[in-house]
Amino acid sequence: MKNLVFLVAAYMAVWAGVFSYLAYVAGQQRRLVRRLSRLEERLKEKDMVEEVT
Amino acid sequence: MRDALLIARKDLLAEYRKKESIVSMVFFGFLLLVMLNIAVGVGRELDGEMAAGILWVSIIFSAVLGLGRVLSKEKENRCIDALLLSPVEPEQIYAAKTMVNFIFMAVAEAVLIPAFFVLYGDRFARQVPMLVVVVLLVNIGFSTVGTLFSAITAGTRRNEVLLPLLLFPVITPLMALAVKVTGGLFEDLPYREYSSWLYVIAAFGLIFSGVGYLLFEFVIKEG
Amino acid sequence: MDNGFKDRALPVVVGLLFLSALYAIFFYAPTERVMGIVQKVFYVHLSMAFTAFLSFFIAFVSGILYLTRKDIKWDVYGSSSVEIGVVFISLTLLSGMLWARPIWNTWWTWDPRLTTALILWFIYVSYLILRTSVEQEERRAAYCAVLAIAGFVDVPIVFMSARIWRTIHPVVIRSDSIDIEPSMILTLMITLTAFLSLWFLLFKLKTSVALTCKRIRFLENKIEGGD
Repeated sequence: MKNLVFLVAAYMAVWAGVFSYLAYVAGQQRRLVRRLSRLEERLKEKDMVEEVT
Repeated sequence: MRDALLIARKDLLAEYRKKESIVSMVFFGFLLLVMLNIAVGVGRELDGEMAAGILWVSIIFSAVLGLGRVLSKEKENRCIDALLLSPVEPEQIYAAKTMVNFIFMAVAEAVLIPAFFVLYGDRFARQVPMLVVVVLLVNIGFSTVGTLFSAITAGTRRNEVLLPLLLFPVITPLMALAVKVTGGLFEDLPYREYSSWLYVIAAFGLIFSGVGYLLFEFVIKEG
Repeated sequence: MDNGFKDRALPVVVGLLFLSALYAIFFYAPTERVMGIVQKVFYVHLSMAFTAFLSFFIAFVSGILYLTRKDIKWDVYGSSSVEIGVVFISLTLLSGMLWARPIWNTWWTWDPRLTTALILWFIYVSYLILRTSVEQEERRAAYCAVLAIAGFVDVPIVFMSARIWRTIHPVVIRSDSIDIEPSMILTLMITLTAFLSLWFLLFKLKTSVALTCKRIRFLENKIEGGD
């Protein structure tokens, strides 16, 4: 039964690794999409200002 | 091939006048031999493979010093741009630089290996002609990969730091083989005991001359 | 919103595949007689090793395609699969060590497979380091393509040279026969499929990160250029 400790440890390491990488990439993507939409808004505002002047 | 020989001659002449690479390579290699002698314990009897490991670590670390200089020198004075504008083919530049690295390494080894026998005992100096063959084969493998990778790092911000980081993982198998075969020579084993490893060393050199020959152009044009 | 549906469907499929893989590993596959329960690491371990190796192969092919076609999308594909491959090979090494400690009574041994995995880890981590030290896009792409090719070409040599050391690693799959029970093979296949689908999900995420990055840079240039 001592082996069970190693099994649990191995599975925990694998899932922790997979999930933290997944969370890292997904977080990165979410941050970038937010930044992109902000940029697009700014660009639209600028275009409107240019049209007025 | 003529262009390659001309470029190599130019580099070797410059080195002959200034001696900046060779001196630091030999000095650093010798320093490492002494430091590793202290690390394993002064006066301890080593077996063949351990002694071979020490020799190869010293040679490879000192060779990296010379490798970084050969291409970054051309980058610094923008010589490489002129070479690329001239009708010289990139493959010729690669052949030239590989030759230069090979010769630098061989010269450094001509000093380091005798120094090794002095420090670690001349009982290891048994199959010297075969040792020369092994050393030259390893040099081919090292200089073909090394020249390609030093072209990569010469175009980055952290040239000198990055080169060993990229190069050592790829040449680890070469080093392991070199240690195995050289250890066999130091133990005076018969040829058939290590010949199969010798072929793998030769294959390494052959494969990476091909890889370097094909890929160097793509690296050097991004300068 | 067809695209949006697909984006949400893939994680669900991956999740379901993993649930069935876990079920198969713990309730369907029999417990191995000699090694006991810790053998259940094997399914995940081998699947991840295979997926990592596949990633490096894809990076190798992408490297060749980038150098011949000069299309930056191949650099995005190559770098994404290297990063995922590094994650998987790290976990392969880690799970292997946790299996080896009770079975072989040692964390590490210089077996050809272990040595190859470790050297692959070094090569592709150095690839990721190289990426952070070159700023100009085309130059970085060319350098990384060259490293991906040279690194993959090195693999057979690494494996050959690692035979220097004796092996204690179990050989489960030989060319002539497979050395395990059918139910274990089925479990392995399910786990492998789960990991391949996870790889695909990560790959899609990673490439869309790179594409969003590019779009942001493009818009930023447009805003600054207009001022």
